[in-house]
Amino acid sequence: MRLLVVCAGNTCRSPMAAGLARKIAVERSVDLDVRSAGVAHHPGRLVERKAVAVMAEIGIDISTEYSKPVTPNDVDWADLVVVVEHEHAFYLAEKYPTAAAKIHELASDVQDPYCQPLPEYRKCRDRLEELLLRLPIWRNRAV
Amino acid sequence: MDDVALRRERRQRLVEQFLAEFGVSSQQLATSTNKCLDEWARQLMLVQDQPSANLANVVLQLCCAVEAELAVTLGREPGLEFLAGDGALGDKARRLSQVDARTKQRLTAKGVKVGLLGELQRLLSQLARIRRETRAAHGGVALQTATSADAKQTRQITGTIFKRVQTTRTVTR
Repeated sequence: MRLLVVCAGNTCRSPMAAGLARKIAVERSVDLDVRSAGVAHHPGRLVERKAVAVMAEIGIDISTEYSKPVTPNDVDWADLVVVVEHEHAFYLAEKYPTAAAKIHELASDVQDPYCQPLPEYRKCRDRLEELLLRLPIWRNRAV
Repeated sequence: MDDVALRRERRQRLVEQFLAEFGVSSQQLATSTNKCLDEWARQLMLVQDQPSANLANVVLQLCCAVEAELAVTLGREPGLEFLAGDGALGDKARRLSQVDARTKQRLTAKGVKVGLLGELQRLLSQLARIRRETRAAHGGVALQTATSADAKQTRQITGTIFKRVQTTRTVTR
């Protein structure tokens, strides 16, 4: 299974969600390959340090992740494209109509924690984990 | 009405709201300009309430709209054809400062205000600077970070250019 997680800048939510998905996959012995990207990315910028910090608190290292754009190759590669904003889902479906069926909204909106204090990043991390666990990709695969 | 139509309507509303701030309507603008503005609205919707987003594409689409509008207005005037060319914004601004006296006289005779070219030169230079600093270059490959302040300033300059250029439309047609 190949999962692409998409947010706006690819500096907070999608790298966090990608890290969480990798962790869940390991815990549930699911063969999962994960990428993340942004619809309005910052070329080459490293992931926000607060995002790195709150992920480190739960043993996930995303410190080497950097902001990347959503490419046609990424969308083609993915079996499932997960987005954190309603608007992003529409945008991707319009831009990649043949991939529309595999675009999935985690929730209507997962608030962008950018520049917020650490507790907001924690809240975002926990919300992302809760939503990721609802994805059908883990079903019947719990160890 | 389906989602696609609703979203198209919302984009159109965003465009009209923006233009109305400067006393302009989309019907006064060229089709190519409106196409850029529609894409601007799409990019704007994408990054609204997304503080982590890079607004370079928002800046870029407004620059495209300015170039498109200048191409079909003043760019059709003899001596100002460079405005319809592929040159960079900064280059177009520089060339506006070098327009010959005969072209200026011809424009003045047509009713175009004397100071328009100078003002356009200044506004285009400002746009070029934002685009250079945010690297909101065509092609999307080299996009760098653009902030909401960059987008706001670009919006102000774009609206002002549209407003100024509309005064020439009737005389350059």
